[in-house]
Amino acid sequence: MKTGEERLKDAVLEVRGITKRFGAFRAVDGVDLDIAEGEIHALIGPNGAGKTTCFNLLTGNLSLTAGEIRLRGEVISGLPMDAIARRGLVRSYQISSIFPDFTVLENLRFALQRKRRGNFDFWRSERHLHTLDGRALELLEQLGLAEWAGTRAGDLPYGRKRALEIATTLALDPQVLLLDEPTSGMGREDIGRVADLIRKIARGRTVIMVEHNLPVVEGLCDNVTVLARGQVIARGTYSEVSADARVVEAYLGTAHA
Amino acid sequence: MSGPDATTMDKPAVSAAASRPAQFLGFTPARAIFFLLFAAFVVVAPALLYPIFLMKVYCFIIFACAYNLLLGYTGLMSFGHAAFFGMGAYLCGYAATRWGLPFELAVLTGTGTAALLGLLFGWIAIRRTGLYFAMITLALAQMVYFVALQAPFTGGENGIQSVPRGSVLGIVDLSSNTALYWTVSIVVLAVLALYNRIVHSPFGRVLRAIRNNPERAMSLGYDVDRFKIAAFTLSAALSGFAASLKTVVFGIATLTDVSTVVSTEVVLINLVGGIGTIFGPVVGSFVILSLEHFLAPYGPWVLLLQGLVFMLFVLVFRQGIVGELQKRLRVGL
Repeated sequence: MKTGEERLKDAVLEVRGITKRFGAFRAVDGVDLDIAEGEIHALIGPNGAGKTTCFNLLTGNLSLTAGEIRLRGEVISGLPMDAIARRGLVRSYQISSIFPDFTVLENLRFALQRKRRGNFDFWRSERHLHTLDGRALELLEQLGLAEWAGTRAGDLPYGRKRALEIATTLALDPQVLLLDEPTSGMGREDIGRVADLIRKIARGRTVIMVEHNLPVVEGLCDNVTVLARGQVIARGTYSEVSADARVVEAYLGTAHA
Repeated sequence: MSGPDATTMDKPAVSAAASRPAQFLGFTPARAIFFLLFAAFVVVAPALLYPIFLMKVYCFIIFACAYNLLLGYTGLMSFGHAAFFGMGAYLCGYAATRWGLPFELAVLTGTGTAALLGLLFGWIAIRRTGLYFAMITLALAQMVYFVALQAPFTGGENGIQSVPRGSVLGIVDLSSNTALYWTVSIVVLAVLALYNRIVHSPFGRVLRAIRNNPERAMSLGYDVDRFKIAAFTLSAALSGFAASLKTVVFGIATLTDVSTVVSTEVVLINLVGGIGTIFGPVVGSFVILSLEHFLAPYGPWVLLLQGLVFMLFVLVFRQGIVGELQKRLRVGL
């Protein structure tokens, strides 16, 4: 495998033997990952391979049974989710996770608000936060949401909710961005737009994504890790792994059926 | 670049302006109207109703605001707010009678005690969510009730009686009901403005986000537990403040203040008024306390009626009176 010395040097994220057991079931079983600075990395595999569980372990949504995760050399495994997010590793969810009662603009403003001081100031008017609107609108513009700014987020159509969630994730300007099935449930047109967007936002940061849509992976990702039954069965470029006999076998009767 | 930017800036700016019009004391126009109507009522009310009853309502409005901050805006259901109310009342009464502290410091003592208790209870209870959170607050409040029953400083069944009213800053003598009424009136109006401000502050925004989607707030890097504890402490402090004021008004702090009745009453007030609304506590307090006041001659029948009111609102008007009103008028109250 080509994950040797040279790649380790500029690894943003080093994952060693992470394992998650639910009772006797090993959802994730000793997975190693090395994610290089600036790459777009896909995590693929048939249903139930442990991709989303893997994500949840990286972000601290789930606690590890075993293993270690380092972000730029610093151990982050065991930290709570919010502390990991503050260190620059931020995720989006498979099922759009937004603040439904807020407007689209308020969703963005809330994400931007976090890096400001004075979030415990209960005596101050919220109008102080309107200085964040410039940046918020820029992001909405980037995601084609500008015209929805005043809409209640819960009333957005599905595809727009996804876009909104990615926008709020981007608002934190994360070093490492984890996207959990960014194109799931989308029409062809939206998929093209989101793929373009991911390419655009990946500049200057590292992206790890779980994705079922293989053409999207092929067009977008520098490296691919294939999981099956909680273990890594192949890694490399898309063309390398798609030629791998074990990958073909794992996918037969599932994705390609 | 400037062309498309300018046009896209326009649209949201318009909608943002529409949702954020001019303000009065931090109130939106619709809320400002409601606020001024209430202020006008406060001015004419003593000519129509018994001032002591009105002051009791005003104290409960403050208490209900404190509770709504937690239930309506943070999404935390506490069944133990009697602990903060009761201890606030006792410590204010004790400070005024035994230590001879003036009005302001006695009220501050009651408020501070409740805040500390809130910090401790919040720290314990936020380890669980939903029903378990509520059960922990209930259990802690029951323990406080037991302490109040046994500890000598509360006066047991007698409570702390003859709490002196004192004066405001040594200038306004509160021994007359009129002076006391206007003092409490100004305080309740100020607290309403403060409550509205808290909800619409950067802090309040975080609380509302936590109620909306706690997991996402956390994944955006907010330390949700710390915000919950802060909200709980603030709510407890305001509850203690309400109780201190009540103690000064009635000159008495008793076991009733620290009993489960108080915990459930504040839930009922907000349910009837409107959970997650600014003026729900005002309307709810008037409705519930009027029921008690005017039906008092019929004794235990009040409880039966309260139970019916409770069921009516849970089954039919879950948004509460103000909640229903703002749905009809399509404006936030």
